[in-house]
Amino acid sequence: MRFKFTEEQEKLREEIDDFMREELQGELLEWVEEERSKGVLMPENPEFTKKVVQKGWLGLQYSRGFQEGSIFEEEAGYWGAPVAYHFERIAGAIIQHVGSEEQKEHFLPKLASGEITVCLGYTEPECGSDIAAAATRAVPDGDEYVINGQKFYQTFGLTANHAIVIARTNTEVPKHKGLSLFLVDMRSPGVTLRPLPMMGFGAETAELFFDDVRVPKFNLIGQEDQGWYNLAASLDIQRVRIGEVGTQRRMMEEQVQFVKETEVDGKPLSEDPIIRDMLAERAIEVEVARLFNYRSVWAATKGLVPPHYTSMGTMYLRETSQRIGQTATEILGQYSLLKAGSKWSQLGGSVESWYRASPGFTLAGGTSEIQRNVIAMRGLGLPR
Amino acid sequence: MAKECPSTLVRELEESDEGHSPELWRKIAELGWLGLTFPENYGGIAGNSLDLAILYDEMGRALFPSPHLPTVVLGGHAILECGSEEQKQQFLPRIAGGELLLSLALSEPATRYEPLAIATRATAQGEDYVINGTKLFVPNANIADYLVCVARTADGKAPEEGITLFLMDTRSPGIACTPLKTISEIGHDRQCEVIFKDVKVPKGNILGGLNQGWAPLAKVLNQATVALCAEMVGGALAVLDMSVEYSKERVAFGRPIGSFQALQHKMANMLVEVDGAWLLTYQAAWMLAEGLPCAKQVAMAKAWTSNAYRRVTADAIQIHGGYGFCSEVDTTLYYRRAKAMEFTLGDPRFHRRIVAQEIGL
Repeated sequence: MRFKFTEEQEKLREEIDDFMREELQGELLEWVEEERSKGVLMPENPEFTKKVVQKGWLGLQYSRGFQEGSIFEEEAGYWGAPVAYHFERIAGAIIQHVGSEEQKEHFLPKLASGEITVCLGYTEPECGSDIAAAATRAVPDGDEYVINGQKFYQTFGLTANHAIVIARTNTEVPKHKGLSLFLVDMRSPGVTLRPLPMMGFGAETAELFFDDVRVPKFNLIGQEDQGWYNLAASLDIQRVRIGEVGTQRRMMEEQVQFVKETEVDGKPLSEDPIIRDMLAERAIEVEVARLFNYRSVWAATKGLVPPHYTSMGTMYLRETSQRIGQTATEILGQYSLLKAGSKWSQLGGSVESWYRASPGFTLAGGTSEIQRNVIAMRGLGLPR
Repeated sequence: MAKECPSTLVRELEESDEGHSPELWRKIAELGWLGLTFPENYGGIAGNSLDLAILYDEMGRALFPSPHLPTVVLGGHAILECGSEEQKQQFLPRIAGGELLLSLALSEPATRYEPLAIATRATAQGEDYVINGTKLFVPNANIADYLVCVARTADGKAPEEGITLFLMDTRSPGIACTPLKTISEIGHDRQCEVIFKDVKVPKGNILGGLNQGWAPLAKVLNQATVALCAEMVGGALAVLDMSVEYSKERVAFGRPIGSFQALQHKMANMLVEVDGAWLLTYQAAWMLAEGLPCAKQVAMAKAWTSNAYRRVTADAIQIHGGYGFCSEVDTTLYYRRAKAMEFTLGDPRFHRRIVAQEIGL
């Protein structure tokens, strides 16, 4: 049993950390903060991305492994790095898992170079948690499939140049058995995007319309009609949230710093026993969320990944993020209402935007209820 | 455990004066469990904190009623940590062999596990120290042969200065030990009031340096806290397993109750509590075994695991319905234990105070 990283992994983390500290200052940092204050979940900066690609860090999961890739994600999450990595890692994992050798050779380098960026086209207006009910159709026609339908709530839909789309290729079989996965170029004729503004974070969220969109057969990922099973198998990896583990670590540090520096009635807030207790409680939860998520990473690299590990990791992490938001509002009091830009706003208005975004945390990528179903049925073996 | 420690025995022993079975104690001595973490030259088998955690995990699952924690981990490790070579030779092999029972007389009516709260006084008088004070919630003191008594010998600048550990023979005149009636008296949940009135302890029975007792004691408390956490983890896992099994079998409205989402989500939450406790506890145990500094991780483990065990046992009763509330059903044993252990070696609020310090507040 071991609860630590190897020396080489620690060195990698340090290198990434140094790089981020060096890069994320001045104009770039200001730009990131401004984008975030506009509700952009993950601002992307092409020059910064180029540097990260040169380091080989976007492709760490292929070149060195999932653990190393996760270390990059944690640091990227901690620093709020303006580079797309999250859904790209997911797309890469699906292709690695079920793609052909030709597809791996073709797509993985493009994911590692930042050339392909990805949004997930699972959800539809009439199907959310029940993904298998997807109604979008894909019909073979020569060397292509023709896709028609609508997708909903695509995080990064406005910015990504590709989408992983689940579509129905067979209507004659039970719903789980007639679905397929496609990597669709969003620049294809017939793809229409409409911005779908959310209450918080997600200025890049869209709904997608497919009208006779032609997709090369090469872009069918995994076997035809096996899409649901391939998706379910890789959902395990999709639900690892190491980037957000880093974000939580950063938020805790900021809040600890804030209460030490902020005086009320001539005494720093950090001496208030109630505040100390709240922050200690959050710190313990953050540690548990970190352990849950790294357990998933560890299990994945051992080829294990019991499905409930990642559901538990996601659900607990996201609910903890909501509690961190609530705690931060209690610490800042009425100042927590202020958005970025006011001379009165604290911590750059980040508490306001986090709190406003937080209801979405337990919806995106599977609701807490669905995650609890998975834990109960697959983790504990409870009956349907 | 499964063979030797059915819950009928747990109930029987909880009602007994001794609170444990000397016969079982001999058997676990033979298995090497009493010397699990002692070096081989003191009759032990040189295991580490992870081995100890595994043992406690299983003891917790089986509700194994014994004075192992006070004897081996609190008492034995205090001697191991700071005793003289002679003291180690004299005590550790006999503890490992099952011949001696010990306890740690630490907490007082203030019920705090901090140096500030030590009011019991030891005053030098010739070749002896004379000890006066009241200790409250001393585990298994009623059957202990020796107490490691934590007393104040000087008033230093910091509260931890001037604390000394004394090895005290419980047959010494002036000791009055009264077992307390509490919510759980299973194994080391059995607590006592111990009053010292002019109790003489030879100077040679000081453990470690005069006025230097707190530092080694803090290490012992870390070790014991992790063991206790592991015991809670085992108990929590046991009641979760019981709940899952019961809910698969119990039928209501024509379906197993485990198919209802209201119960499924409750049990999913229980697994989050238990897995979190498991990870925090074994992380702390691993760090102890590696000799890494881990005050934060130990405090996190105790704060979380105490709450987890309490909540999980309460949920287990809810899932079992009225049946789970019957005294003869084991859920009630775990429920009572969880509350007792929540406060043993510091409650969650105490440990969150440590966490607050450790994160820089």
